Amino acid sequence: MTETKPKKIVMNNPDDPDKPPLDIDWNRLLSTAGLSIITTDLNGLITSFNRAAEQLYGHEGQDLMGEAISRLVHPYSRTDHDRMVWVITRENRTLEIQMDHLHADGRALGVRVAGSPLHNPQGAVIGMMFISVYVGEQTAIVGALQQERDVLEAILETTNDAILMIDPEGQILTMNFQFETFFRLQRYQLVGQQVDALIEEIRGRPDLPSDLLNLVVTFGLEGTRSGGGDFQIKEPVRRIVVWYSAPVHSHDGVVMGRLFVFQDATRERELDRMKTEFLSLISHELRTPLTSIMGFNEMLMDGDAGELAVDALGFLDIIRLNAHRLRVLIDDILDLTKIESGHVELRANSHELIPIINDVVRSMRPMLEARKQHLTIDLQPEMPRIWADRERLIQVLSNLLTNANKYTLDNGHVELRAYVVEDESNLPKDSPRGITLPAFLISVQDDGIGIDLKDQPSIFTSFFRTEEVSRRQIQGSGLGLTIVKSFVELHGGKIWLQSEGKDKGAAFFFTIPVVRGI
Amino acid sequence: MSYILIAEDDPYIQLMVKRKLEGAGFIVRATPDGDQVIPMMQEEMPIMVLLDVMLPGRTGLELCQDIKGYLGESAPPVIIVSARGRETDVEAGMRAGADDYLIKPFSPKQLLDLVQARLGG
Repeated sequence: MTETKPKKIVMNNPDDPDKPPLDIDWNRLLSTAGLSIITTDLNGLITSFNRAAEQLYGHEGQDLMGEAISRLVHPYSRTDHDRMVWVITRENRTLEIQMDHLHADGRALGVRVAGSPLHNPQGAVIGMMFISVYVGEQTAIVGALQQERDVLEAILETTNDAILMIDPEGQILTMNFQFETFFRLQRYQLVGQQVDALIEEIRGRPDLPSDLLNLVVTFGLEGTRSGGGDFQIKEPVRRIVVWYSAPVHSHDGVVMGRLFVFQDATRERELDRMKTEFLSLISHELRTPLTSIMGFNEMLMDGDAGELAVDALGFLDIIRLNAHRLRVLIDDILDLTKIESGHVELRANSHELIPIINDVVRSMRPMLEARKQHLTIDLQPEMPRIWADRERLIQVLSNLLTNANKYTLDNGHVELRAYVVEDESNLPKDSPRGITLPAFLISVQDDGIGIDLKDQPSIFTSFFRTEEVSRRQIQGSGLGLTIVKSFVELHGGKIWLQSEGKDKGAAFFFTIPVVRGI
Repeated sequence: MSYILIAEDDPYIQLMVKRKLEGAGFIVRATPDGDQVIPMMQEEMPIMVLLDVMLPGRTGLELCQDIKGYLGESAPPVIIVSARGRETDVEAGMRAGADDYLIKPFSPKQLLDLVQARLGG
């Protein structure tokens, strides 16, 4: 703790180090120099402040005597300042850093600061000298960037997702707090290191999932692939981790690195599993009583309990119809639950399309004939084999034909077509974009009650029923087309509707991509 | 006495199946308990077995597997009747050795047709 105010500086004679040192009037030099010069003691308390410094910082030098020099340092540059002080006092070295200082009016000053130790004649460090040169407005930008950086960092650190980013040279750019806690890694050991250090660390830790390792290794640094998936962490508690990885591009399209995001999906998955289990249980519990209702009803109608009056038969038929409705509803809700939870497995195989269509048509004939509707079938001969889940495809076709039957008047016309579309010019006009070609194009067209233009956008939405359908008391759950759409999309196809409006009939088109060599 | 063995824990479905088959001239014995199936078969071999999957005691799938496993070629035809109707469930039934798999709700007439086809009238 020296209180000596340096009055003289001892310098070696530049001409000859062996000659006696030069004597310089330090006070005079300090006060008249055109550069801002501030001296402090070893604690950083200001011991002198020259005129140029007064001008630069807007303070009266007298007011600052004995104050900490850190008062003049902008908070953004505190770390740089502390490092400088450390180098000067501990390493007895001079250091030059560009940083932000503060003007008396609070604005940031961009300065280039040279800090050096002051020695007593015995060569011991007794204080510090800071020479500042104003470098201008850069600081404002630096400050703004810094602020933005602080905001982003706050977001990064408080998000629930674990985030890891690696630059194209394989250096770990960032790793947030969640990543650290999620995988119990120490970021101070890893940030700034090559990704190999992370790979090494995961290899040596049996509690970390090998999937994490595979992920980092596989996606590595190259490639523009994005991807996602999930894996499990077994320790300390079993957790399901959903991950996503994508390259990060700068605004001008240069790859800046790769981002990995990890989320804890344990609870979500558990709820999902419970929902599926619950619905499966409900469905089982509903099917059991329905079996007796439908079975005994059928036996009564078949005369297993003796002859029945015509009225009684009529009533039983109503019970039969409604039990059937209930059954379809249960099946639809189950299908929808499976679709929504992503549990639908496609059992795709190679099939001949025409026999499948013929099977469906055969089962639909009685329905169509009951209403004297005319069915036209137009199938392209010699189509390639179709790669599809037969049951699902039958469900799609049956549903569209059932709709055509329901929403077409007696004596109406229904047309079923199937052919292969090779390129876009062969698609019907107003087809949606993004259809994978070549594809099978299957359409079911009718001249029925049509679909009001305002209802068309909602037609594939769950439980949606048009007013017209309710008014005409046509039965249905409003789930059929939602399910059909999901099944078509699971096959990589598209489904769409064309209807000129009410009473103009409707045409449903769907595609299933052609798979070669099956 | 050649009889058909039914294992079904829902009393109404049990009654329904019993009445339908008896109406066609078959003799039926029923139990709601999965653990009773093998003892009943040991006492007297049925000409056909109808098994619900979700039974108290041993499940229909386990029973089917045992019947087909122990008796091999001489095992009676087994029809599994279940509310579980996904493809994977049906496949599990077929793997257990079932001759037919009927999904609830099923039509009694359809069941009778199936039984008659298996037993040759």
